[in-house]
This record gives sequence, C-alpha cells and structure tokens, in this order.
Amino acid sequence: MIIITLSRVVRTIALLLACLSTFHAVAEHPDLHVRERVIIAGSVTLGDAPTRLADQLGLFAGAGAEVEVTSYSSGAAALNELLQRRADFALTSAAPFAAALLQQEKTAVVDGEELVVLARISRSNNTHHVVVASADADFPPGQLVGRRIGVMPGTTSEYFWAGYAPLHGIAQADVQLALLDVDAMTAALRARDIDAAVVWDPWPRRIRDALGGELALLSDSRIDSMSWLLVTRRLMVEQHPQLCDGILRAYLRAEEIIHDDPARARGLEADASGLSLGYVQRLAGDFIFSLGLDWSLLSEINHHVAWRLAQAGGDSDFVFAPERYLAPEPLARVAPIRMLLPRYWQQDAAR
Amino acid sequence: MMLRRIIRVCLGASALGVAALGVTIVLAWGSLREQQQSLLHIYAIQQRMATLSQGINHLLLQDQPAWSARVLVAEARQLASAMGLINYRDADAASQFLLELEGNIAAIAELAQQKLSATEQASVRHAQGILVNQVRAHEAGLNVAAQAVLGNHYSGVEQAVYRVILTLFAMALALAALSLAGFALLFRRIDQPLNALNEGISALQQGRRDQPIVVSARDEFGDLAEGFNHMLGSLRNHEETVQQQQRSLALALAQQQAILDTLPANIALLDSDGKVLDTNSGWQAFARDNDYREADQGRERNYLAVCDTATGADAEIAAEVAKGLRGILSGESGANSFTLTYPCHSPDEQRWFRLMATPLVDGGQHRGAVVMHIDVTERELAELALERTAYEDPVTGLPSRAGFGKQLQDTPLPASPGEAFYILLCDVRKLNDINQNCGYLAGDHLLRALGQRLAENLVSGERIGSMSSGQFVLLIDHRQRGLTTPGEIWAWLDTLIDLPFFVDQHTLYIDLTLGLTLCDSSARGHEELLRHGQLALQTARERGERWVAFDPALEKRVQDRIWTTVGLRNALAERHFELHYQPKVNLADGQVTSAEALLRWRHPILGLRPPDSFIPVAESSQLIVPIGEWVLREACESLSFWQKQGLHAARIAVNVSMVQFMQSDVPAMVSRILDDVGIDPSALSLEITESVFEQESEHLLRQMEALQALGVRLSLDDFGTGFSSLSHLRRYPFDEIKIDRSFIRDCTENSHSRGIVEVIMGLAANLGCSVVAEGVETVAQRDLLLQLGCTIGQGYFYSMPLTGEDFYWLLSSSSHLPLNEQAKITEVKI
Repeated sequence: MIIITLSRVVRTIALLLACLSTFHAVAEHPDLHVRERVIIAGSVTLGDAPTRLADQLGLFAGAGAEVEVTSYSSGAAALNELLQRRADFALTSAAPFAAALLQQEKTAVVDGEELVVLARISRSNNTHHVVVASADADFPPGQLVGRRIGVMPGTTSEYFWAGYAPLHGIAQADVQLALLDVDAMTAALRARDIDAAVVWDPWPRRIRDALGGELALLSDSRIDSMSWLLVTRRLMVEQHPQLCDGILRAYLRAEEIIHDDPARARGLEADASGLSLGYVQRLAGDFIFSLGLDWSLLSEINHHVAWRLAQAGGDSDFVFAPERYLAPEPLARVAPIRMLLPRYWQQDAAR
Repeated sequence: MMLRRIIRVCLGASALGVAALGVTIVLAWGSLREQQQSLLHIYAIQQRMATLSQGINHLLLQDQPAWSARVLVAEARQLASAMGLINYRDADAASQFLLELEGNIAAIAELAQQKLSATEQASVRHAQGILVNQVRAHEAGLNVAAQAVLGNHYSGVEQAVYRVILTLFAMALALAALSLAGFALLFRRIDQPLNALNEGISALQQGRRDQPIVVSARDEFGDLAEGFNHMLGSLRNHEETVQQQQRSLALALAQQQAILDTLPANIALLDSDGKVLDTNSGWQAFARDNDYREADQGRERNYLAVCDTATGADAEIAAEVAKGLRGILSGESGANSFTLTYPCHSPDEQRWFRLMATPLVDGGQHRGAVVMHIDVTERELAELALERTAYEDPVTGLPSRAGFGKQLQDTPLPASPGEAFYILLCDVRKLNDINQNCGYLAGDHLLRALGQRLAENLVSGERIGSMSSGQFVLLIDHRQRGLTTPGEIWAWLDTLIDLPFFVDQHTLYIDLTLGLTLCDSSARGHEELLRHGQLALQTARERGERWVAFDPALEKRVQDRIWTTVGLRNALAERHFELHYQPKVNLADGQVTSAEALLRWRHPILGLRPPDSFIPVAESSQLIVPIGEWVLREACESLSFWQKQGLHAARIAVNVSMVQFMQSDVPAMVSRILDDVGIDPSALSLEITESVFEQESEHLLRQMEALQALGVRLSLDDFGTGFSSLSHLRRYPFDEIKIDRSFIRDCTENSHSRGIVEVIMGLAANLGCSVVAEGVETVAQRDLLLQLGCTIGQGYFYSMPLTGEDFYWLLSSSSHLPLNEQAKITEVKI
C-alpha cells in the first residue's frame, strides 16, 4: 500500500498547479525575454558535473554565453525552476521531464513554450539505490517485503523502484511506498517512518553521513536507467540559436576535459559539489558523459510517459509524439555526429 | 662563388629535395597504407556494429531464432575486443556500453524465461521496457562512441592525407622555390656577364680593341672576362708588335734596298724561268751606262735568253753562265751557288767581274735566283800583286821558295836517268860579316847581283830561286852543260863567283857552301828534293866542306839523331840510364881512392850503348841538362850510400859538358843536389873537358868560381888535346889535371909523350893541382908514371868501368888493383 502524507500531496498539487500556471502564462507571452545572465538550473547529481565544470572553467563565457548555474536537490526541482521562468535551462532526468510533458500534453501550451530537450549530457545505470537502514551489508532485496519504502514522486527513483521490485520478485503490494521529497528521506529514515529509501547519488552518502549508522545499499544496474537532459523551451532554441550552440559547445568542451583530464575534472567536481574526492571518483565510474541526442532517448521518454500514463490508469486515446519535445538543430550544428535521430523524425520535429 | 659551385649546390639541393620528396612519398605511402589498414579495420567494426544493431533489433522484436542473447553477447564482446584495438578514449566508452549492453541483454533473456502471474507481468514489462531502453541507449551510445571513434579515425586519416599532401606540396614548393632561387641566382650570375661578354665580343668584331669587358663576378665569367681582357691586351700588344714589326720590316727592307743599292754590285732577282723580276740601282746604272735603252732597264727580260743569244767574245762566257744559272734555277746541280769570275773586255782597261748566282729556295722548291755581278778588278789586281809577292823574293827579284817550288812542280820529273837534273842549294858564307861590315843594304845588293849572275848563266830549262836570305836554289841541267859529277858542278859554280862583286863601292868576294842532290827519277817528290838539298847543304856546313852531295846515309843520320832524341827522353822517364864507375887508383899501391862516374844507356832493344853514341845528341837536343842532373844526383847518392856503408870512397868524379854550362845554372844544380844528398862538397869532382874553352866566356868563369866557392873540386879532363892554354890554367880554378890517354898510351915508347907528361906534371906541381893519368893500361906505363911523380891513375890496367854492384863489391872487399897478383908492384922507384 502506498502511504501519502497530506503535506506531500499538497506540495505535489501545488507544484503541478504552478506548472500549469506557468504554461498558461507563457502562452500569453510568446516572445521570450532573455536575461542578461542566462540561468541554468542544475542539481547535485554527478550527472550534472559537466554543468559545474563548464561554469567553474568559464566555458560558457568562452562559448559566448553569460551563464549563472544554480543547483537544486533534484532534477525535478531544477525543471520546476525552468517551468517557473526562474531559469532558462534546466538539467533533469527523463522522469520529471516526461511528467512535465504529460502535463503539457494535457494543457494548452502556446507554441514555443513547450519543453524541448537539447541534448542528453550524461547517463548512468548505477546511480539509484535502495538505502536500507540495516547493518547487513548484503541485505537481500527479498527482505524488503513488508517494509516501508520511501520514493520521491515524479523522479527516476519512483521509476527505478517500479522496475527493481519485480526484477527481485517483489510485488507492489508487498511494500508500502512513502512518497517523500528526497530532502525528507533522511529524516524519515531517522524517524523510522520508512525502512528504506530509493534515492540517487549522492543522497546515499548524505544519508549515511546524516544518520551515521549502518546502511545497506541495494542496486541493480540492469533496470537503473537515468538520462540527464539539458532542457529548455522551444522559443529559446528558435530565437537564440547561438546561445544554445554556445552552451552545447561548452558542454562538449567540459566533456573533453572529463575524458582527457579526469583527475582535474574530478577535483573540480569535488570542490563544486562539496563531496569528497574519493567519493566523486567512485561515482564517476558509474556515469557516462556523452553529449548526444539519439532515438533511444525518444524511446526512454516514451517509456516514461507510457509508464506514467499506466500508473495513472491509462488513456487509450492518448497518442504521445516524443519527437516534438526534442530540439536537435543546435546539436546538429555543433556536433552532428552526436545527433543520431532518424531523419524523418527530425523532419517531423521540424514540422 | 664560382658558377660550377652554384650549379653543384643547386644540383645537390635538387637531388636532396628529390630524395627528401622520395622519402616523404615513401613515408606518406606507408602512412596512407597504415591509414588504409585503419579504415579497413574501422569498416570491419562498422560492419560488426551494423550486425549487432540488427541483432538487437531482432532481439527487441523477439526474433529469438535468429539472434539469441548468447550470440549477441558474443558478438558484443567481439565488437568490444575489436574496438579495443582502436586506441582512442571513445573506444573505452564504447566498451563500457557494450559491457552494459551485455548485462541488459542477459537480463532481458532472464526475464523472458520467468513465469509470472498476470499482475506481475505488467511490472515485468516495465522492467523489460527499461531494459529495452537501456539496450537502445547503449546501442545509441555505442553508435555515438563508434562514430566518434570512426570520426576521429577518419579525421586522423584525413589529417594524415592532408599532412601527406601538405608535406608533398611543401616539399614540391620548397623544391620549386629552391630551383627557382637557384635558377634565378644562376640567371642573375649569367645574364649580366653574358651581356658584357657579348658586348665585348661585338666591340672586338667592330674593331674596338680598347674596350675591356667589365665583369665584377668572381666566377667563371669573371675568369672568362679576365681571360678575354688579357687576350684583348695580348691582341693589342700583338697588333702593336705587328705594326712595329711592319715598320721595322719596312725599314729593314728600305735599309736592305739601300744596302743593295749601295753595294758595288749589280744585282737582279730572277724567277725560276730566268726572268728578271727586280734589280738594284747598280744593275740599272750598268744598264744605262751600257746604253740599254729599254725603259725597264732589263726587267721582265729573260736573263737566260740574253746569255743564250750572246755573240762575239763574250759568247763563251755567256754560255757558261747560262749553263750554271740553269743548274741553280732547276736545283739539278745541287750546288748552293754558282760563281764565275770573268774578264770584261773593256776597250779602255782590263776589268774583271765575278758573277754569283744563289738559288731562292722556299719549302724545298726552287723559286728563282739572285744574280749578282761584282766588279772584282781591284781584287784581281791585288791577287796578282799578292801572288807576285808570294812567289817572288823581294830582295833578288827571283822566285821565292814558294815560287821556285811552284815552278819545280810545273817541271816534269825525269822518267829515266837520261832526263836527270841537279837541285843545288847554296848559301853565302859569312854573309853576316858582310852585312855587319858593309850594311844590310849592301848585303841585299850583293845578293841581287849574285842572283842576277847566276840567272844570267842559266841555260834553257834551268831555273833559279831564292830560298831565304843568302840562300839560292837552282835546277841545273848538268847533261846539257856536260857536267857529270858534283865536283864538276861545284867547279862550274865556283867559277861564277870567282870574279868579285862591286856593290855600293865595295868590292866583295864571296864563298859559297853547296848542297846538291841528283834527281834522276820520279821516286822523290819536289819537296823531298828540296829537303835533300837542304840536308846536303846542312851537312856541308857542319862538316865545313864546300859542297856535299846528298847521300841516303845523311838522311839516316838525321833519322838516327831524331830517334835517339826520342829514346833519350824515354830513357830518362823510364830510368834506362845507369852509371858505371871507373876506379881512380893510387898507382903506388893499387888502392882505390875515388871513381869517375860514367853514363851508360841500357837500351831495351839495342842493349848497353856507349856515351859517344848519344851524348852529342843529348847535347844538341838540350836533353843534356836533365840527363846531367840525373847523373850528378845518382853519383852523389851512390857516394853517400858507400860512405854510409863505411866503405873507403873518398871522392866521386862526374863529367860536365860545355852545353850544361851554357844552358843551365850548374852551380845552383850542384848546390841543390849536395844539400839534398848531404855529402861533403869536397868529395865531388866535376870533370870538364878542354872543349869548354872553345866558347870561353865570363859566364863560364863565374860558374866555375861559384863551384869552387861551394868547395867542389874542378878537374880539367883530357888535358893536352884541345884548346887548353896556360892562360886557361891560370884563369880557371882547377884542382886537378887529367892527362889525356893519348899521352899515356905511348909515353913508354915515345920520348915526346913522356916529355909532355913530365911538363904537365911540373905544370901541375907549380899550379898546385893534382894529376891523374888516364888510360893506364900496362905495368910499364904505371911504373913510368910513378917514376915521373904521378900517383893517381885510371885505366884498364886497373879496372874497366864497373857497374854499381861490382864497384860496391870492390870497395867492400878493400881489394887493391889490379886484382892480377903478377901485376902488383914490388918496388917502385920515384
């Protein structure tokens, strides 16, 4: 059974309402006003390391863009900054993005205000973990049956848990899901409101540091799929292509540095994130920093949307066209080799 | 830099560039091959990726039969392995993708095998969807990584190709630039000097030889220009030299022409046909003087034709000239010149001309001749005068010795005794007295008168000449005169000079000495006849006879004298002389007191020769001086030797001739030898014959006094037979008198001889001289001499002259002479 606290429900509803109001407001203002300093909203996940590296090394400025990077606890929060027009670009995983798209599909959105993905900057299949307050390091997943599991709704943690449970023979009914913000996971575990929390790196380290106790960390890379996306609005792509190109070039340059000088990149990431260098090094092995836009992302977004629709009870008449939410033009200009979308999809997107 | 060096540098640089280009091409080819291999490898990877992608699609479409998970995993591993070969960071990412892909594919396969309930299947499908997306994402990532890898490799290939192209282009550009620079440099180094050379050569062709080529480069062109300028300078110098030579030649020709014109000769230049090409002024003047009226004065006329057509008195000479000239012109004569002296029959005076024709030869070809007529009249006249002087005695006007000899040569020698004639040579005795008394002019007049008298008395066929001053030569046909013997001929001649000659107010009588020889056959030549006459005349003079006819013995005696002289020189050099010693003995007891050294000549062929056979010859040939010195030194050394041997030899005596006193410094010679040998001067006696007084002189006296001063004893040899006089004995410082053997020989029988010996003994006693008796041969003579007071003697009674060894033995044996015991004296009464 799923336990949903009132405050969390209110907060989620408020968030959705805010998104809707934002879409509405955008629909009334088709011309995008760009700030003097472009704001990119990111999060603490290591998948967002290229953003911090480009910011630290001034790569955005070198690419012709005055950028300010802001960081949030999750990609959903960062995306919310974009939706609230407090940011121009956001870095988020596919799960919040799919949720936002699904919301946009259900509401009228002025042309150009729809969210679009410029590129996937990183991905990982080993960044989500089930953190269990247990001294047994080899805590078997089957013992989660009957436990209270904390997940953050609208994020990949929820998506991960949905794949992890059946893969380890855990039926949804065997556990109680507690929908919590990731910031609240630590307190919930401390309060034993939940037995386990599905979080992403670096939250397990933070929880351990906060709780100080022994924790079991359950992972499964097979169904751990997280793509870290650079998202903006369509108008930004259409009206400020040079800005978009410059930002993509900065990400490409940061990616080169990560690959060519990983020690330096990890050191900078450690400085920027406040994590220890050793932890950053361990996490880095679980991430693939490869800027790109390919058909698998379409499939992934489509799968997220389909899963979320299925979670909501399903809508047989709903036809989702994920290509509408991709903006391949900047990447096709900056790094065409990284753009692997089928041509007819690109043409559809153009239409 | 020299052009050759520049060209070598260019060629070297070009070769280096071509080599570098070749190396670059080879390296580029290798690089391209390597890139090609990489491309092939990438192409294979692409094929694998396409295959894997196709397999994944099949898997996602549940096309299990075609692509099982296991096969895909294996394929993914192979692809990872293949990509691992690519050294690029994207390959690592691709490998990571593939590894994860492998896990996802395996998970899909695992889920597919689970048997789930209907409610669980929905969750499983969600997981499957995630997995499928994973696979898709991995495939996409793989594609991106692979594309990155491929792109990088394509970029690498492209860059490699670009590098190759750029390198080749750069090399080609560098090579071209280098070549251009080299050619530009060469052009720059060649163009200017080449133009300068062309201008210089053009200037030279236009005759401007004062325009040197200015090339500043220090290369081959500089050398060429320097050589050209040097050649130009040489050419100018050569031209100046040629001009100077032309001027000199013109001057020389003018001078030569002037010389030719001033030569006292008529000169014409003929061609090979004899045509006159040119003449000198003398020829032209001769032509004018002889009224040669043609304007060219003989030029262009054929000289041979002129000679051939000559007539009259000159025709014969002209024909001879034409013949000789043709030989010269054709070269057939082989002569270098043709010369002919011919008389010119001028009506005014007799003149002579000498024609000289010399061929003009050029390269072995006879091109003509130079004909020269020289007036040699003066020379001919001079030669006639010279001939007259040479063949005529200026004093008597008679043929001189040469003239007479020439006449004698012209006289045929008798072919038979019936054609015999006499050659007489006579000279005037004491002509010197006439010259000194009456003057040489009178002497000359006398000789001329004598010659005239002799010539006037010659008959046909007889000839007379003057051999020298005061000596006449005659060829007498005695048969025609009826004279048969030399005495009759002398008598005829004597009658001719019997009458006096009146010369320069002097009445002179002369006497002649005649030598004559009969020429009765042609066995003797003319010169030999004259020489035989001279020999007969010389013999007559020596003998003091009025005439002597030639006899072959006379010639033999002369020849003997000559050969003896030669033999003496050889004997002196070869030490063929030796001394024999005749002991001088105390007549009382026969003891040897001293010895007289006597010279002997041991001739290698004739054996031992007595002094009479060669001493006169030695005296006449001046060999007596070295021979006498040898005798004196040998005798002194023998005496010294004997004395050193402790033998009783008080003194040695050596004969000295008058010639030695006349031709040498005898005291100096004696002093030098005495010093050399080291004997007491008083042990040496020099025996001097009375003949020295025939030519008594102060010189002789001074030498004898000098000898006496040296302490040498002087002995008067052969006293009583010659020119000795009491005044001689008084004047000359003799220590000893040797009584001639002629007085000793018959002193025992002839009272006059005994008386002479007694007088000599008394004279010697009065003069304080010792006496030596020569030629003691008998006991009676010894005894008589002892009775007369003569104590020293020598002669065969005691000993004949002994060789050195025998005399040494005699001294060493202390024997008393004579060795015959019966002859020894038992009692002597004085």
